[in-house]
Amino acid sequence: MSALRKFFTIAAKHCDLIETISVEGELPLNDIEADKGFDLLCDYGVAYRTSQNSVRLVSDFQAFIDLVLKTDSLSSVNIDVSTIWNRIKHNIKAYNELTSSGQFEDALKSKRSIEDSVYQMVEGLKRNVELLRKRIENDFGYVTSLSAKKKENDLALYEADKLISSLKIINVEEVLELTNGSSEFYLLFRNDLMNGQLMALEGLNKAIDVMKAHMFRYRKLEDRAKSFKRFKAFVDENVGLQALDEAFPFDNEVSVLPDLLNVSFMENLTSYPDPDQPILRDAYIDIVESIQLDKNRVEPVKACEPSLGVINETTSDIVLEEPKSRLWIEKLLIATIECKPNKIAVCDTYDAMEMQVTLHDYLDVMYCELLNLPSSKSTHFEINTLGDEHPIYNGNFDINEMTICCKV
Amino acid sequence: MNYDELFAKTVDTLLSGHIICPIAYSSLRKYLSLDLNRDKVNSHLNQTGRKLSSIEGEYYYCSFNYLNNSRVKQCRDFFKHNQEKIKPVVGFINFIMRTSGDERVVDVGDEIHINRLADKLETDFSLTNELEKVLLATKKSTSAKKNSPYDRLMVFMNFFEAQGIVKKMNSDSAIYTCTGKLAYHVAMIEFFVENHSEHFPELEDKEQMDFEL
Repeated sequence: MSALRKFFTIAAKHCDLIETISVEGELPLNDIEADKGFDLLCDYGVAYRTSQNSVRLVSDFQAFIDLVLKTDSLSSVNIDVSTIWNRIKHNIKAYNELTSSGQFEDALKSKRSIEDSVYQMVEGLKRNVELLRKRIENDFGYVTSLSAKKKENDLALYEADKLISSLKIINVEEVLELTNGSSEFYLLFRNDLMNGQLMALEGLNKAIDVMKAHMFRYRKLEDRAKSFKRFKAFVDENVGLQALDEAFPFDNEVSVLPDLLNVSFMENLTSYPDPDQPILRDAYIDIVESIQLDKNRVEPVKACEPSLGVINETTSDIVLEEPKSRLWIEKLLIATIECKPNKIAVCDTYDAMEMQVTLHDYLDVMYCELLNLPSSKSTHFEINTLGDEHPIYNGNFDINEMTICCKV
Repeated sequence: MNYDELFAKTVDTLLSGHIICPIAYSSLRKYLSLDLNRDKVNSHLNQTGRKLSSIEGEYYYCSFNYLNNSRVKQCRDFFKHNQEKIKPVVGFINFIMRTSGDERVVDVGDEIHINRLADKLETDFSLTNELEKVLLATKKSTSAKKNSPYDRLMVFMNFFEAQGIVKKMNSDSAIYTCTGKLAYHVAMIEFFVENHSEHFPELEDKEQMDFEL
């Protein structure tokens, strides 16, 4: 069994423990003692005992786990560019000395270290930029509140700026000079390191642009939330609609009228109801009960209460309304139409039913359901039941059981 | 007959007073994302005295491109008529913000999970009161007072679905998504607070800094 396979076998055996330490940061030694064989992991150098009688994972192994699991624990820690850069330069010098002194085997090790450091730098930069972009693109994925998102964005901006500054330390010409233009390192520095640096810079600058745009959006969202809160406070304080009228005077403000108010929203109020979702009797009663009529244009309801037509349940005889009251009802319906904008909208509740009930359906139900009158008495509207025709609407069937016609 | 079906649908939808957004009319919104198509639609609307307007360049609606005394009167009437609608929408936004614990005003595309709302209602009695307040504003409070909080919540959601403020992504789903109609109301609120600031109470500094709903 290869050494690597052996290591992964042992690591797999202690997977739960490794995961716990990885998440918690450290575990008391007492909790680990029961897990026989964990010492082997310490022997491999992936974990160690602290003086506080606990066990921690070595940072490289922790970084490896974060990389594999794509966790965000490192997302706020930038790659240490200057340390890696100094290591590269140090190893180049060592390589030069070892080569000139004829210690070619050790020089090869230094060369390997230089290559490892360059790729560590390139990969680290790439990962840093990816994490940054992930945090940006995830929008509100990691946080729920606007202020938390702003803080996160601020931190990400700071980190990106810091990384850009630290990238300036990378000078390909300097290392090429140190290697005396050696062809062994030329492609490594000129292609891999330089491209890695340029791509990181490009990625970071793009990320910063996006983050700045996001900051603008967050500020806008914040302003919107404040505006909403002020508006809500206003609505809470002023229950009646008149207060809103005073707040939004339209006279002499023609020039600033926005498209938002100059809309063509009220064009289509007479669509037919959805046959799959008929409005039933109870819903109609709700609508009718909620009607707020313009008191200046109609007579008080009580004026005609005694003369409303009703069905006498004991005798089944019909008491017809007096002609005067019938006229009043017709007047009431027409007045209801006329008192609203465009002479179409009957009342706000009717408008709230948008597209679900026609105006004539609505008026007929008002006529028949609210006032409990025989529909045959309406001048403008006529209601017939489907199926066996009954001369009188008794108010006990649903809209989908009747047909409505306009008497033109 | 050979005709541009998407163009026709877009114009019909706009003229019938709907707001085109990715949630309510995704194919039409996609159609309008091209400059050429927007120009075509706008040019057609111009001939009817209207134009293609947008909220933040994202959600499209139809407005008139002229103002005369008659239009101003109609706008005034429209606003008065709309006042009644704004109140429940304010209640809706506030209720959703409170239940989600989010400081942001709920936005187009935000999802509303009925089961999560129902869970919150069960544990927070003040939310039930808030819900009833909104239902009162919608005039839907009388018909089913004895029903469970979940039923009341459904009355609430059904009302705003009928208003076009939210849309069920499919009939079996318990998830609603906010549409461009909500953005319209929010834009209206912002417009009035920004342009008629003197009518609206200023928030205290503490409230501004620590925006807790």
